[in-house]
Amino acid sequence: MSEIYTQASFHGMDTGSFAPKLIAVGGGKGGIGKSMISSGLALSLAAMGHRTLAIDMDFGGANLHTWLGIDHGDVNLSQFLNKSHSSLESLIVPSGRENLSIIQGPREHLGASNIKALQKAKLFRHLTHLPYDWIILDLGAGSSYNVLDFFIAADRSILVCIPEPTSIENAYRVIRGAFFRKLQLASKNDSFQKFVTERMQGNEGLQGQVPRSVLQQIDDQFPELAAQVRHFVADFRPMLLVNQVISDDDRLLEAKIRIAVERFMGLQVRTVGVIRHDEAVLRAIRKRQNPVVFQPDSFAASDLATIAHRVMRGPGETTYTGASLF
Amino acid sequence: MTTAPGGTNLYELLGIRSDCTPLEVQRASEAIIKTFQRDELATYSLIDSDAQRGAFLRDIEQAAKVLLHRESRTAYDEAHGIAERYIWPQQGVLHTPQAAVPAEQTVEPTPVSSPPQVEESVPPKSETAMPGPKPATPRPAVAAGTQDLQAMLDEAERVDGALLEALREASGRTRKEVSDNLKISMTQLTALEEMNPNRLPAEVYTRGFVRSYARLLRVDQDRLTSAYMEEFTKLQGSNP
Repeated sequence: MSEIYTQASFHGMDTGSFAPKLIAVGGGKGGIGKSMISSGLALSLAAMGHRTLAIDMDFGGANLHTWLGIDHGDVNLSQFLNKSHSSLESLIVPSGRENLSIIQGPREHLGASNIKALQKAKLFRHLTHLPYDWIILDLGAGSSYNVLDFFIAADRSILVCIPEPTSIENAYRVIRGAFFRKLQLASKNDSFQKFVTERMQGNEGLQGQVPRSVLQQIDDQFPELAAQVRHFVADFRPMLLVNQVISDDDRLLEAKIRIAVERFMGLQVRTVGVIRHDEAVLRAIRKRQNPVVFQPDSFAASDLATIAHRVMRGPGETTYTGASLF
Repeated sequence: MTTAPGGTNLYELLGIRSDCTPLEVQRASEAIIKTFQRDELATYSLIDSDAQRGAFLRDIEQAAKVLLHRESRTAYDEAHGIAERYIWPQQGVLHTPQAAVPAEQTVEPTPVSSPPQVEESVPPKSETAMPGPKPATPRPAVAAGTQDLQAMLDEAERVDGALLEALREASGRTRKEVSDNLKISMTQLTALEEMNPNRLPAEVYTRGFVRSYARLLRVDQDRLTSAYMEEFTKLQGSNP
């Protein structure tokens, strides 16, 4: 599993401009707009002239192709994972739009729980060698290791939620899950691993510990590892996107969730923007189109375009910090 | 920023720079408190229990309390080896005791040649910076000018003795200076700031003192007085 990690840090060390940048779109809850957003970002990037590949990794309900108006063809990602196809390239199909190609997700529900570690590492390795500027991964719902590992390894991790308590709850689950997953990968030290496992499993009285206090315990109990662990954890900066925003209060959610994650959980998150609730989205999908294509002057389309620019700049360079609470 | 052994760095807890102004301390703590109210959509799924929420908010309030006051903040900075510190306005330099406080003779704490350095001083509802990571340029030492003090008053969740004290400290004055300036005894002034219901003077006197305090600080007299007196009335109400 550390292999997937080596790739990620290898990537981060800027080995050259040919390696594609990976954008992972996740959010914990189904039906909140991940596929709409994944396809919308992919279309926006392609329209700007970037060579873009969108990959549907939702094993629970692959819909990406529908947002792009493509029929679900014969080839899809499971064929790479089950080894009937040895290369990813053979699974790439055109989207019908310039600069944009797609790899479909499986048609049926796969049934298998987690993709094996070796498969994940292999997939990641292949991804990073594809000749694209941007690769967008439409991850599934939930916070399983499938989702978390790609979410963590990506160059841009977009965490989607809507102004509704269950989706916000799931977003926090993804953040917590990613934190513990990062901890697992931060050091191979045996007692450290034991420490992490106890807290992940919530052994007697250790459940519900906020990441901030877990990090403090690491400062106390593993002082020689603390700096490296903190650095490793802080390296992951998901970009929060609030979809289906209606009221002004909804807009303030970005800032509030950011406060909650940074102050209460003690972790890093960036805000990347909001997408206004828009009927154009529903009209678009009924025509099997993304709003960006169906009605480029709609709220949803223009919000997506704005967000696409911020996503490109990344969590480090974007100066957007969300609406003020004052 | 150093992490205090056995405890969180207060600045990190609030998400502010170690050299930020009292206004920024107030804003940061209030934003956090507002975000963790019981009915807040953004956070109710994050909190396991009222006890947990209560403990967290107490930590925040305590942190703000330490950092809003000159003495406690200075002591904290010393004890934790904080390198970049807020430079409090010089005390006792320009506040010479006067017979009365005619507005035109009240002197500004230090010459303020440029507006106070507050990144958040832009119209609300635009994309402004939340208290959070800031650019690394060092800030000029500026006393809380009237703008900052007025902002602290406008944005305060509660206008009470603690706020009076915070405003006074931010403006760089000691209790002694204010007592001399306004001709209020130290006992009465302390009572106003501590808001101990047993020690506050009668309503009519309290109102007068608070109003002249507001005039001294050059903040909105009506707002400060009426809001403070609301708290005063609540206190008296629970103390027959």
